[in-house]
Amino acid sequence: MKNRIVLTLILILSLILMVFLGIYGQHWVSETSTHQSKIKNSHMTPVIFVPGSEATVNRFDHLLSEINANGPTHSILKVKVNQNGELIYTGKINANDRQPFIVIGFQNNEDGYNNIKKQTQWLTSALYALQDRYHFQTFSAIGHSNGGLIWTNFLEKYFDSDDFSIPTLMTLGTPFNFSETSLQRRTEMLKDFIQENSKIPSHLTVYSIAGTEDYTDDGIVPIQSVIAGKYIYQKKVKSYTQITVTGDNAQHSNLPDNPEVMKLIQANIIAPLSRRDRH
Amino acid sequence: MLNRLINSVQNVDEALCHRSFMQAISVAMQQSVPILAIDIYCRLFFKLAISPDALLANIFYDYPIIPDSVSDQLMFIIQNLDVAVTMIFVIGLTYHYLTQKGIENTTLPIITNFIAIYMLLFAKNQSPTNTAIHYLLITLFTLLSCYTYYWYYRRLKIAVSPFSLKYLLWATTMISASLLLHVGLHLSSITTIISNLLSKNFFTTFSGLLLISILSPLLFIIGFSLPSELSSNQTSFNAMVSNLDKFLTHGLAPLPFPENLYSIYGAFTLFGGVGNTLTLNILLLFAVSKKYKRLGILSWIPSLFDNNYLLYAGLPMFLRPLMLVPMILVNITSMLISYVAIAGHIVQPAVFITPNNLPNMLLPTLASATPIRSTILAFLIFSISLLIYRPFLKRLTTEVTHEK
Repeated sequence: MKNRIVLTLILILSLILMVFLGIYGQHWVSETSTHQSKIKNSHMTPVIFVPGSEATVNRFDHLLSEINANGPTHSILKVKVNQNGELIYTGKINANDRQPFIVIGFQNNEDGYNNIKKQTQWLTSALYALQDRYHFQTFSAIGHSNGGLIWTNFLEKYFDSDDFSIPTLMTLGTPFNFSETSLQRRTEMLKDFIQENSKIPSHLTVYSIAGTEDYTDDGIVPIQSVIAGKYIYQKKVKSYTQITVTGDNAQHSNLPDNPEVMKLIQANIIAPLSRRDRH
Repeated sequence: MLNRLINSVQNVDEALCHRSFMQAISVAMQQSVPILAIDIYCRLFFKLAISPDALLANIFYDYPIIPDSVSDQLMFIIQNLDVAVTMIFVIGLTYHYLTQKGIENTTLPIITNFIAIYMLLFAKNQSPTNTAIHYLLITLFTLLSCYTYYWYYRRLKIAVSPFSLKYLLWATTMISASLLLHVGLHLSSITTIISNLLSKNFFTTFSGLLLISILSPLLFIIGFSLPSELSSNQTSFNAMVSNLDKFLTHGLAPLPFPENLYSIYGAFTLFGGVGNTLTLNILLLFAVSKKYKRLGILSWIPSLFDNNYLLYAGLPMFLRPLMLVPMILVNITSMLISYVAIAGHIVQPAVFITPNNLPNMLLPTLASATPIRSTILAFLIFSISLLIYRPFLKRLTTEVTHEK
C-alpha cells in the first residue's frame, strides 16, 4: 500500500514537472522561432564599420557623407560600446532603409593585442544586440587599421554561421603583423591568427587595402604588415584580393577618406549587397 | 506467434547468460550501478542547472550566470566519476571471470587490466565526452586479457608466484597492447565519420530511417558508443536546418525533407533514451520484484531526461537478446507509425528547435506545427512501446519473482 502511494506520488510529480517544462518550453520555442523568423525574413543588409585604435565612432563621418552624397542615402547608426558593455546609440536607421551604415566603436580604443581581444568581445555583444534590435542576419564588414584585426579575431573566435552571414570583409591599412617590417618575424598575434584560420568562413570575400606614402609604409603601418594578411586569408576564403593605394590621401589615417578607397567600397561592398538584396 | 518469438528469444538469452563470461559481465555491471548513479545524477544536475546551456538557464531569463570555475570543477568531478564507473566495471569483470575459473589470487590481472583500460581510454585527457561508455571495447579487451592470463596460468601450473617475472611479462604485454590500441584507435574519429554519414540525404528516405531504427538499438545493446546525433541531438543535420529555414521563410509550404532523423527518429523513438526506454522504466516501477522496482525508482528521473544508462547497467541490457529484440521492435513500430502520420499529412513534422536538455518526450508537442495531433501520436507510440516491452520484461524479471 505504502509502495503504491510512493509510486503514484512519483508519477504525479513527474507529470507536473513535464507540464511545467512544457509550458516554459513552449514559451521558449515560440519566442525563438519568432525571433528567427524575423531574422530570416529580414531584407536589411547593413554595412558595419569598425574604426582602429585611438579612433571614435566618428572616424568614418567623411567617408559616409561622401558615399551618401554620390548615391542613394543610407541611414547611419553609431554604437559606442563602453567598458562595462553598455551600448550607446547615436543616429537611427530608417524603417525603409535596407542598407544602413552602422559604425561600432569602443570606449577603450587603445592599441595592443590584449585590447584587440577585449574589443572583439565588445564587438560580438554589440552585433547580437543590433541583431535583436533590427533583425538582420547578413552584413558586410569594413575595418580600418586595428578594426580589421578585430574583425579577423571575431571571424576566428566568435563568428557563428547560424546567426550571421558575412559575404565580404574589407580591411583598410590593417597591420596583421603590427609594426614588423619583415614577414619573417611573425608577432604572437599573427601566429595566433594563422593557427586559427581554419575557422574563418570559406564563402567570405576579402579585400585588404594598403596605403603607401613611399615604397615601405603608409606613414604608420609597414606595407609588409598589411601584406601578411595573405597568410591568414589566402586559400582559406572564397577570394582574397590585395590592393595598394598610392598618392594623396594614402597616408594611414587618411585611408578612409581616399577617393579610390571610397570607389572600392562602393563597387565591392555596397553594390554587391544591393544586388543580393534585390534577389 | 508472439509467444513463440518471445520463447525463442528467451532461450537464446538464457543460453548466453549461462556462459561464464556473461555472468561475470552481469555481476560487474550491477556492481557499478551505485557509482554510475552518482555519476548520472551529477551529470543531470550539470545539464539542468550548471552548464552554460543548462535547461534552467535556457528557459528562465533571470537565471543567475554560474561562474566558469564552478562548472569547470563539476565537469572535472563528472569526468573522474566516468573513469571510476569504467574502472569498477573492469575490476569486477576481471575478478568474477577469473574466480569462476578457479584462480584465487587475481591481484595482478586486476591491476594490469586497470592500467591497460586507463591507458586505452583515458590517457592524455581523452576521456569520453558523454555517458556513452565504450562497453564493447572495454569488455573485449578485459576478456581477452583474462583469457590469456588463464591460459598462461594453466601452462605455469600454479607453482609460480602470482608476481613472478613470467606473470609480469604478461602484464607488460597487455599494457603495451592497450597503448598500441590507444595510438591506433581513434574513437572520436569513428563517431565523427558516423555523424558525417548521418547528415547524408539517404537518411531522409524510408530505407535510411528504417536502417537507423534497426541499427541504433543494435549498436546500443552491443555496447558501441553512439554519436550524440543518435542519442540526443539531431538539430545539426542539414535536413533539419533546411526544413526550419523553409518554415521560417515560407510558413506552411511543403518542407524539403519532412521525414528526417529529427522529425521521425528524434521525435518518436528517444523517449527516455534509445528505444523509448522510458516505457521500460514505467514497467519496472510496477515490477513485482523489489530489486527491479528499486532500479525503476533509481533510474526514473534520469530516464525522464533521456538518460537510460542506469537501466543499461542495472538490468543489465548489455548483450541481452531479451532487451535487443523488443527495442528493435519498438523502434521499427514507432518509425513506421510516425512516418505514415507525417507522409500522410496527419501531423506536421517537428521543425522547431527546443531548449537544450529538454526531455525528448516533449519534443513532438513543442517542435511541431500541429502540437495536439503530435501529442496524440506520441501518446499512441508510447502506449504501443509499453505493450511491446511488457512480455519481454516479464520474462526477464521471472527469475527473481520469489523475492516478493
